[in-house]
Amino acid sequence: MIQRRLAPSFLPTTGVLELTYRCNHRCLFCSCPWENDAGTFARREELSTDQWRDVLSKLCAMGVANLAFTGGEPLLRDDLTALVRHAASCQTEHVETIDGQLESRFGPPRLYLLSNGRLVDDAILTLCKQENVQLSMSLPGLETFEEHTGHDGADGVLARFARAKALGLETVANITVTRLNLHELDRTISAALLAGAHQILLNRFLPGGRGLRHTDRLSLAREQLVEMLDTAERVLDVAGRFGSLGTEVPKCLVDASRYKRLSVSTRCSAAVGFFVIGPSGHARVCNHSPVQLTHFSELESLKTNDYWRRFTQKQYLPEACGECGERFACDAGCREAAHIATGQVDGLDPLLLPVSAHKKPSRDP
Amino acid sequence: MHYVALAVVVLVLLVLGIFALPGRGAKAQQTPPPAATAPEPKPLAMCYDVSALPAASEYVCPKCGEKTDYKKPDRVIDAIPACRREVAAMKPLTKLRLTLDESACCAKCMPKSPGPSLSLDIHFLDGSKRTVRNVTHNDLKQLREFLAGKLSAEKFAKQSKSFAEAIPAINKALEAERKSLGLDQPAKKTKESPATNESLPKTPEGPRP
Repeated sequence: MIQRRLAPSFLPTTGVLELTYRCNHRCLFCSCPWENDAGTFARREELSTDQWRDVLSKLCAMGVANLAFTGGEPLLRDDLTALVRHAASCQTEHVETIDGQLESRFGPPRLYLLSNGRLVDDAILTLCKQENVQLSMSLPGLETFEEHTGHDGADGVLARFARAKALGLETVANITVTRLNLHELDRTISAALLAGAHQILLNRFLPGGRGLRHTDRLSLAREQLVEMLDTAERVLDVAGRFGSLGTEVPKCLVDASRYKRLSVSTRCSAAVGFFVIGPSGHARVCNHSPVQLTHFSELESLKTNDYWRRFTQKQYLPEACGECGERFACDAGCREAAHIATGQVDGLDPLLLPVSAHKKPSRDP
Repeated sequence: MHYVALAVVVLVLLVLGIFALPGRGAKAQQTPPPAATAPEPKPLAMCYDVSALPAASEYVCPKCGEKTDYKKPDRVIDAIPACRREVAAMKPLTKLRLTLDESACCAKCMPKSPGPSLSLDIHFLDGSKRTVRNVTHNDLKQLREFLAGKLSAEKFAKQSKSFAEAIPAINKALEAERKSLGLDQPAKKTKESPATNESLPKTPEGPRP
């Protein structure tokens, strides 16, 4: 009976691949660090098709069992289909606990495609169907869609959810919730589910990237966070469906056990559950992180990288949480959002700060 | 005759069924979908929510950086982040140097370890060291309460078998520490509380900016 074994590598089992800096939306809330006005995140040359193939092969060989294609907008890469097919042809080790025993099997990685939906057509939906790719499309509101994204297109995204369903594809509606679209969250979730989305993924607005320009307009207050969760729970309950909150929340602000339809977590998975390879091939602890670590060709060096280790060992709790009885089951919200807002990885989550206290962006350490 | 009786029975069943329908419908609406359709709550949050649930308990060694997979759930491995935070929280409470030894959890550092376990190394001021083996999160929580003066040595010894033997030495070291600080009188005993999570100081409204 195998109870433990050395993992195929030190890497988390999910890799998020930001294929390109480019995007055909101009979302107010975009947290991609390269969209930061201050230009503090160095844009380097994007990886070529062959280099991305190398990344995919390497990650699969290192036991990364879930691969998510995103960007920017990944559909702007002409080679997206080739890259998805290459990933689907790779073999990786899936480690599982079955009947109390650790078991491993080899097979293709689980694939995910995260898009704003604008360029999703039948060819992409067919690709997703053929290669068993879970498709997520962004729907940041209905009447506020254009205000958020710079393009009028909520109906188009809803039509693509419907088309995906007709083709037998399960999809996720990815809703970033801001102060501007909170009032229509119930309708947005309902519309996505009625159109055919299988699951709902909510994210609260986090300062970062282009969003730093609009922090005052978009940031949710604590009571609005609770309103967001209560609204989603109510709609999902009526619909008999489930969803999750993508961004961890401080346990002192939200009683996660109140939510039965919505999965709400208080723990951060950066560098533990997943990591990111950016457009230039540089690794980061998560998609919000403004800190570019090593190039993918030198991934092994992450093991001794202080910044990486800080996340794997979870050494980032704010001093203010010092005596809190919940500090053993809570990471005090999003650590990279705290980093961006306060300049410190162990700073307070933006939800615990007045917007006026947010720090202006500075250059990478 | 039999056919007539059968027809009556069928008719009665049909009528009963029809009248029962609205009730059934209402019940169905009130009944949540089968539990099997509800996804397992995710222990970790992620913006893209693409990571499948961890199918193993994962341990990343702070010394060598390698990852060891354990069958899920694993009581020791799953408690390590909390244990680390307990040890970190004890630092301001004593001059004793406390270090958590996790090496038995790492398949690379200790390939022949019989299973995951945690030890606490206590480095005394005179340079000596004492290792307390098989410590749990609860043991560490009680040690912290003891160091903070919230738990008596007697009660600590009673509640923590792992620490029972080490407590006299720790107590002696703490007394020496107090003397060196000019605090010859033992610290004023605060109201003792049971060593549960609820006993820890809480900030119900959360940290304030």
